[in-house]
Amino acid sequence: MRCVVSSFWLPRDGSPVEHYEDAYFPRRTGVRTTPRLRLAVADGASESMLSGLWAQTLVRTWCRSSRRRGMADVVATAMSGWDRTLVAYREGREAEARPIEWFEQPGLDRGAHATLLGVELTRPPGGDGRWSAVSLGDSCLFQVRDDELVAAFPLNDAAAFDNAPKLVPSSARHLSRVVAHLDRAEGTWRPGDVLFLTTDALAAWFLAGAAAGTAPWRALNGIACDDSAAFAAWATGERSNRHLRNDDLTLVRVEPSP
Amino acid sequence: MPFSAEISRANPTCFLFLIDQSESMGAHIGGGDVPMTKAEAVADAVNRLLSELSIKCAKEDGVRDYFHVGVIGYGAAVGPILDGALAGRDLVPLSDVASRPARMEERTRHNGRHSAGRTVKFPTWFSPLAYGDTPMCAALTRARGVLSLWLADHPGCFPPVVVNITDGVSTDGDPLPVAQGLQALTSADGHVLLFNLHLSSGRSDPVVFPGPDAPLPDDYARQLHRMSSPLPDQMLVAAARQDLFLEDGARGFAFNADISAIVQFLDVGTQVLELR
Repeated sequence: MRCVVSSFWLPRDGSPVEHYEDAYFPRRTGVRTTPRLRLAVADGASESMLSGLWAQTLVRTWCRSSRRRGMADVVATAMSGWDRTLVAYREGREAEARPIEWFEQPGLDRGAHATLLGVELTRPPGGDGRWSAVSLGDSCLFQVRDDELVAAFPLNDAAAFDNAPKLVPSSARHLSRVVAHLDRAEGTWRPGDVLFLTTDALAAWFLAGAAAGTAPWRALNGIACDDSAAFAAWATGERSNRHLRNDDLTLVRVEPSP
Repeated sequence: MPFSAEISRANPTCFLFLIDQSESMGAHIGGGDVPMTKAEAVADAVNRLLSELSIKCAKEDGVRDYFHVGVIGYGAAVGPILDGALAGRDLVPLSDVASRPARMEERTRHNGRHSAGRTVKFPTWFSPLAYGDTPMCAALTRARGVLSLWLADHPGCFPPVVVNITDGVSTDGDPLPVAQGLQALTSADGHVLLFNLHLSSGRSDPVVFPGPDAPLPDDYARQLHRMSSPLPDQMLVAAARQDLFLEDGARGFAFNADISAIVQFLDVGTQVLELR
């Protein structure tokens, strides 16, 4: 299986890049030749401490895990390592002579939170290409074939987005509830299909455009791999005409072929 | 659509508290497990709300200035009542509020009636006071002046929220027309929201965000209810997400109750709600 992977990201307008709290994986763009490819996007919650770091942990753990390890296993692994991350964070702050402030402690006690979408593409020898996806929250997967949207997961309506999506918490005591809330989907892919993984603002824009018949994937397909300037210019235009909500933006585009 | 402006560092909004500091606030509040004066209960509630607002906006690099905050007292005098380094300022960016409490108290928090409790830090920015009359009209007029200046500098902001906390008996005239003048101020996103919290020495049941025709125990409560802005639709939706299901036309009014929930009604990005 050969996949061309392109990824694009942009912080909320008016915010420095350090405030970008989405995450995506793999970080490396370009051509991948592999029997199996895992991809992920995640969106760290604004009202949560260290949520960007947690989002990065989740996408990396999903993508680096073996095929046998499902999402429940992946989330459990990420949660089990979070205490060490917190200890390292506290030690780093002490080393910088910036001890944890009173207003940070409740957020650290509550834990970090992020949405998560994990996708796996495979092509068994001699068989059709397959995809499977697991999600918690409002990060979305879209599949476009022959200039038509043929799959949208887990949301398929722009009106379904709000500012309180389901989130993966970093605290292991919530693992069973995370597992109970996971959404799952699967399907097949053909050469020429394009899959898009996006966080919420871009997903809402995508679904609104699809419903209005504007074929929004064409604009995203028109941005060359690694052309972050073109993506930024496109996003600035859509934000200024208020078609695109001002939020962190993340897009991973995958073009699989046998 | 009104009340839809982004609340961000680039486009902050503001919270202005008006605190009744009149002599009658020295009376004990009705209800509650711990006997305390109305002035003490108000100071506790607003200090807690400032604390929650700071926690809501805290990130690794500090508290983000999505809000500017002011606390105006009215009693023997009318003016800003933040203590310490923030004394004399009408509106303060939230990061300054968070980093400069006047005092840091330690309190014991119990999780359940029989728990041993644990010590938590409780920052305070002002102290209870109960002295003088209740010049509510002067306080509302002062608020109008402060917010007129704010709106001139922030014409596109989410409308400022004013929270007036009182035992309800204005001594310098009818506050209703003055309140209406305050609510007539607008940004491009809508008019100023005025919420009122009425505290009473009576032991009536608490009321939170009642509908437009709700029965209330006395004339003072009814007047404050009339002075209170209806909650915008977006806040009704946010309240429902917190399992607080309010009727259409619910007003930003509470009687002998905690109103800190309003902090959660303001959208500064992805909220964290526990999975159930």
